[in-house]
Amino acid sequence: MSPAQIASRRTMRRMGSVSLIVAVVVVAFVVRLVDIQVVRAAELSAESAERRSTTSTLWAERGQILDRTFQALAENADRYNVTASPRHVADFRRDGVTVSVMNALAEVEAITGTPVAEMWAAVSEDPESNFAYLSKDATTEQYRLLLDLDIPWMYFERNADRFYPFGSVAGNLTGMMGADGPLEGVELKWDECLAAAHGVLSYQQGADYVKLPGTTQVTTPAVNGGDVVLTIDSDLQWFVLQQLASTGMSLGAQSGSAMVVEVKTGEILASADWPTFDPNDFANTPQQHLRAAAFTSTFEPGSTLKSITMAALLEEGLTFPEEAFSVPSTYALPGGRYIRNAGGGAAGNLTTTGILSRSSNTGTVILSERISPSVLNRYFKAFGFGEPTAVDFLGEQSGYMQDPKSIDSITVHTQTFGQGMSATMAQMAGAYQALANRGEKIPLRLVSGCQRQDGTFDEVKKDAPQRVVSERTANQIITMLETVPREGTLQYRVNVPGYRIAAKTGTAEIAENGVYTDERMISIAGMVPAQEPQYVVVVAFVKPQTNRFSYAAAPAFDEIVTHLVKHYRVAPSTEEPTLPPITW
Amino acid sequence: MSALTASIASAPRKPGLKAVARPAAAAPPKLSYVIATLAGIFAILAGQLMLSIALGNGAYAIQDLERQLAERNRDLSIVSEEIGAMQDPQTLATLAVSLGMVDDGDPAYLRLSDAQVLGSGEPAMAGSTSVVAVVPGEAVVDVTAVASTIATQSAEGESMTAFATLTDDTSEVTSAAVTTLEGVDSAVPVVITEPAPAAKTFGGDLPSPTTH
Repeated sequence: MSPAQIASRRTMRRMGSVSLIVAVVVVAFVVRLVDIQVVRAAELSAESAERRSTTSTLWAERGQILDRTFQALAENADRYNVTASPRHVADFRRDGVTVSVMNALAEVEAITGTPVAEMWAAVSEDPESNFAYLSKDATTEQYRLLLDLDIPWMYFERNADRFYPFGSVAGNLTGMMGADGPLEGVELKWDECLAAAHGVLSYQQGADYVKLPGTTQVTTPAVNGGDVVLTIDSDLQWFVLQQLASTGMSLGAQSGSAMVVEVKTGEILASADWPTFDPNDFANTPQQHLRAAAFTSTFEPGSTLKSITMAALLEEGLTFPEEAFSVPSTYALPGGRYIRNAGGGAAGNLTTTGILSRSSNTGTVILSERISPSVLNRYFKAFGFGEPTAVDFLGEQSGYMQDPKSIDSITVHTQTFGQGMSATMAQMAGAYQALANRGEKIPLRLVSGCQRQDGTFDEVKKDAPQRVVSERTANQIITMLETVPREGTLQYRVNVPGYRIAAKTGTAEIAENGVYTDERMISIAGMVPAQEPQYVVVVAFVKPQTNRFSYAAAPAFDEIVTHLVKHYRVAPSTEEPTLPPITW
Repeated sequence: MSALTASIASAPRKPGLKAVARPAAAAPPKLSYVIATLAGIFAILAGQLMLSIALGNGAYAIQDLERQLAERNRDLSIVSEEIGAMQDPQTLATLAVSLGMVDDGDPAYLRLSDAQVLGSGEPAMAGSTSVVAVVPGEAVVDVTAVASTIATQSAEGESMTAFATLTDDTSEVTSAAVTTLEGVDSAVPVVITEPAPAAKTFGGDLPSPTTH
């Protein structure tokens, strides 16, 4: 073989092996390609989509609680929980300077107020953990400052919180939100309207967490909650609460409640309870203050109920305002017990009007001998006692009345002046609304309705007004009650010059463990202006210490009535009333 | 029509085969077409590239705008919380009292026809109004804190300049307000020469003005 032939053969061999290698590589690539593109195509593309896909929460807002002028009593506020990954907590460099863990925590303390020691305990409890709370409920402003700290191991979680701009003013009615949901009041009762349904957004993101175009999809839409509109006038509510607090404190009372009702609509304009609480900060508030006592607490109403007894007697034609009596100072009950009056003026030569005006227990009992317990009970029920009001407040009480068929021989007498039966303040306000509205009872309203996000307004059903006594009877009672601030138990104590006021006082003995104590519940229920009542006001104080007579509630009642006529521009009364005589 | 048929029929007939001219060789493709096609392909590719760059940029723009929206929502939440707290009747009343304002007591009306004062007619007393705390253990709203917030904001160009003069020392504010009131009082000429009739509780019909 010539050298040329040898060289040629070597070239051929080299060419062959290179071709073989190329072929093998190509085959390998083809196999791999087919494997990826055909055999495992579905599996791999699913895995890839999964890696890029993520979801985020579409936050929906809980509805607000609004007053009658659409001022927010409860709204939403963003709060942030500050969290950390203890596993990664370490010194770090910021702007070329090393920041120690303690310095970083001190910076957080300066903003949130959470002590360094507490935060350090949280992160050092389990150093291998990936999650710990440093501080909770930071405000948006604090959140911004915390972000600027640029601490690499600190994270945030949004915490949709509730904010009550008017604080304690309407806390008794709004209730509040706890960590896991609504706890009291309208927040809980109307949760169905207020509740928001968060949505889900799914999308694919790139390596730098930017959403890939065309991949966002709302999997579940977010639905904001509706707004609950109350009938409350928050300015009036505040004023009423102020008067309760200032009179209550001067009386050394344990608690107090007051309610203002618009006569023509039955709408509750104010319902305040003192002491109350701030729904923004209620952690240390005693349980008994966390509620609307006007609805949820029952009491023996005492003499304010005499107006209802008297209305029943007048309606049944069993007496008339000018009927004269020689009222004894005591009335013997079976078992050697006696009914007495609070003062000497409540006995003697009194008319029916005088019996009511001077709040005579003995006179009322003597008059009530003329009416059968079952008829009286029917009137009590018609005026709204014995069942919750139409407001249907969370935990609202019915009060208690004995069955007229089995009523005992003492309660049959005492219930005519409001002892031996119990009622809520809301029931009493509702009963006086019926008297003030010329005998026609309009069910009380606290919530006007639910303003849904789609613009519809679900109005709370208005029950039909019920006539409980004739217009004549109601007018007679109002005139009789007008004698109370002029000549009766509120003389010199309730006086708004230029306005005619009808009111009734009540002092009830408080029973504890089945025995009447010398503690009292004092109250005043009334209406203004008497010639054409527009507003009903009921005020009550529990266990006053410095003065236990019912007129002690007068300063608060007087202030509230004065404020009402100014606030709602009530035209002054022009004529002196013609009132029935109270004595003879 | 018949004439045409006649002329074809009358043409001399030729044998069946005939040589035809060789077809011309295909001309080489023109350079301009090649360039145009290639340019078209590249234009489409470049267009696609631009489109995807634009889409990519759009994604970043959206991200940025979403972040801005979140920031503005945070602003909104901060401001609405502040407004809510300032609308609180308790805060407003405390501020008003700290400025020396008082509740106007019993209402009174002046009947124009005979200058009769109906109702009480008693002036409100200075210092007769106070605001009490309603939650046990809670202090009355810290007026100076609220006032200073408002003052700061008015200094930043927001409205409510009237509060800008509030300082930590509320007595200063009260005395300033009183001075102003005296100024107003002396500026109003007193025209009533005979003593005004005493206030009547119930003055008869209302209103009965004789006005021109």
